[in-house]
Amino acid sequence: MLPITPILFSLLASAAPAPKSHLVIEPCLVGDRQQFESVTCDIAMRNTGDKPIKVSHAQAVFSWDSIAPEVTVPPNGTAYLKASVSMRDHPGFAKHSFRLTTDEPGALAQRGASVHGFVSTVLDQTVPTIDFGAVKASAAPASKDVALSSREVADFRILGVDSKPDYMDVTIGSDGRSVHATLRKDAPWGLVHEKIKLKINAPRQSQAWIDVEANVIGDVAPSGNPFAFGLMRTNAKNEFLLRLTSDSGKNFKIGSAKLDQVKGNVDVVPCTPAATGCKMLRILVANDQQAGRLQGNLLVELPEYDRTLPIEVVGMLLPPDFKVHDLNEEWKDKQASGGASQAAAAPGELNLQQAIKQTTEQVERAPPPGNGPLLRWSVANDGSVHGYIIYRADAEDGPFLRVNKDLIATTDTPSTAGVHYQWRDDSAVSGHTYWYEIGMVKGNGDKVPLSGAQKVVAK
Amino acid sequence: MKRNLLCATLGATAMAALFSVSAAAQTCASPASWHPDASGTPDLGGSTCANEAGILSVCQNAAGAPQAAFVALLDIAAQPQGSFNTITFTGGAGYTISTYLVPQASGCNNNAACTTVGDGSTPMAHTDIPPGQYYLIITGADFDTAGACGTFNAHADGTLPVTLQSFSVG
Repeated sequence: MLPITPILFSLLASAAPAPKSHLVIEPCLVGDRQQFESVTCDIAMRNTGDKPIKVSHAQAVFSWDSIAPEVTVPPNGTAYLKASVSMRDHPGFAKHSFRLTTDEPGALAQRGASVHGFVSTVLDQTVPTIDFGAVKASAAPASKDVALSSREVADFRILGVDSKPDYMDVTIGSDGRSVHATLRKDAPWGLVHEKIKLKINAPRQSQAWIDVEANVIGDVAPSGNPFAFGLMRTNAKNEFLLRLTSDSGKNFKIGSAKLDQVKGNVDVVPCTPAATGCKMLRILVANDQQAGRLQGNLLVELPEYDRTLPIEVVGMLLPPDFKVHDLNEEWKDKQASGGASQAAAAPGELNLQQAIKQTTEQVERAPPPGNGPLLRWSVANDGSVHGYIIYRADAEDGPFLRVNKDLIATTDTPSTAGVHYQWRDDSAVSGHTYWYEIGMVKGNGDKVPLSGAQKVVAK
Repeated sequence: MKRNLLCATLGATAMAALFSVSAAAQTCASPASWHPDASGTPDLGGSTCANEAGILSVCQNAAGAPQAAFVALLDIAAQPQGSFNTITFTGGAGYTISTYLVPQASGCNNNAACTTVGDGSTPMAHTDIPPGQYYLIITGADFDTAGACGTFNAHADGTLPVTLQSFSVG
């Protein structure tokens, strides 16, 4: 955590003359990247003052990233901190942050830096997931299958399982493109958020990860998981009762019950009315903690079962004077009174004037040089698109494979009237018949088809 | 990262949909109100200077802020009626634009967990935002100097579908 003391609930602005830092830190842009790619980037730091500035401590926010621990930036000069980031399995836009401590005075000493990129996957599935849902630990082991595919890798195959949760059996299907996962009875009780890590045969991406979700319900189970505290006030006694019951109906012991990442106390009390195989946890959330969103775990030790049951807890702690309204009602009132956005023009129809201007300002660019097939397309409203992929096949019904190595970037000025793009296939063989399709990569990494197939004989 | 932030706030969304503080200019106390329509109109434009000056830290200390921010209220509807696919940000000179989306129920200047974040090269995606009411905090990067500020533009792309108008191969 940054040792910055937040000003809590200071809803009114309090402008004060601020000391000026002489250290300018530029974000490091690494462009389009592939999942699991490791990237190094030299973060530039420019000293505009006449005294050296020492960065005495630098730390990555993500545990899998790293950064050089220190550097001294000379007066009126520039120095660089080398950052190494792993893109892991997060698709779409990614920002990797770093916390820096400098020898500048006061609050200026705490600074940050960041590395930005866009992460693509070779898989057609952006975030492959196996969700077992609610599973009784006493029932037969639950099994699920997930199929993976790629229009970027010829003869895509899963080569093996790199890692998996200990309590899961994972096998690769005979087709080499599917995964069969079984949640065994020794799975931990509670909510499961895990990964199955696979080796794949993609030249640009050696791994693919599958998200695994489950709620394993053991013999002793809470009345809710996650358990919501709801809205709490810091001047109130925020006490909650959570019922634990035994599916077998037997009484059970609780060794200890404590909150993790949320301040508070937990007592074990009898159920009311008393019942066998039932215990109640009385949770008192402390008011002397950071207000706002609370999230953590309630850890319940069950010695007879030789395990600890984690129950996720979530809530919102607000100060007493924090005014709470029903915005839906306020919104209706505002609409009724004719209130409108204070920003820019009133919402309404398409801005035809702007659309025409954008269209007429578009310069018809010369096609890329070469003799291969030239693809031209025009797209309206592609502001949510990060880039385009061209797929090629030898027959109309495929199989289609990605043919452009780098994503075709969208324009910075998306238009309702349409933006023109073009791309030439230099790898086409003269005289050969090809079929082409265009796909989109959205900002979240999703791949979506844009066009049907178009046929051409390469010149 | 976005997913981490999202996971950190998912449970709050139900409350965010139910509760909120009132609103009215460009500070936490009186934020602007932004309601882009299906075409993304209007853009939200302004300056982070001379508005909210009390935000020092955001996203539970995940990032600092240079004490100069523009605050807007944003009502996120569920897809497919959602108000946008992505919001892109452009910042002017004098600072490095950074943006944070916080459930309204968490409070504006409460250093609460962020639902998602954006900046000049990272749009906010609707898919990262559960329906509800949010504070959109537009400010400088944590590596900006204290008080750094400047102009900005936020563009919602609307919900008009991406439409292929023509495609030829020759």
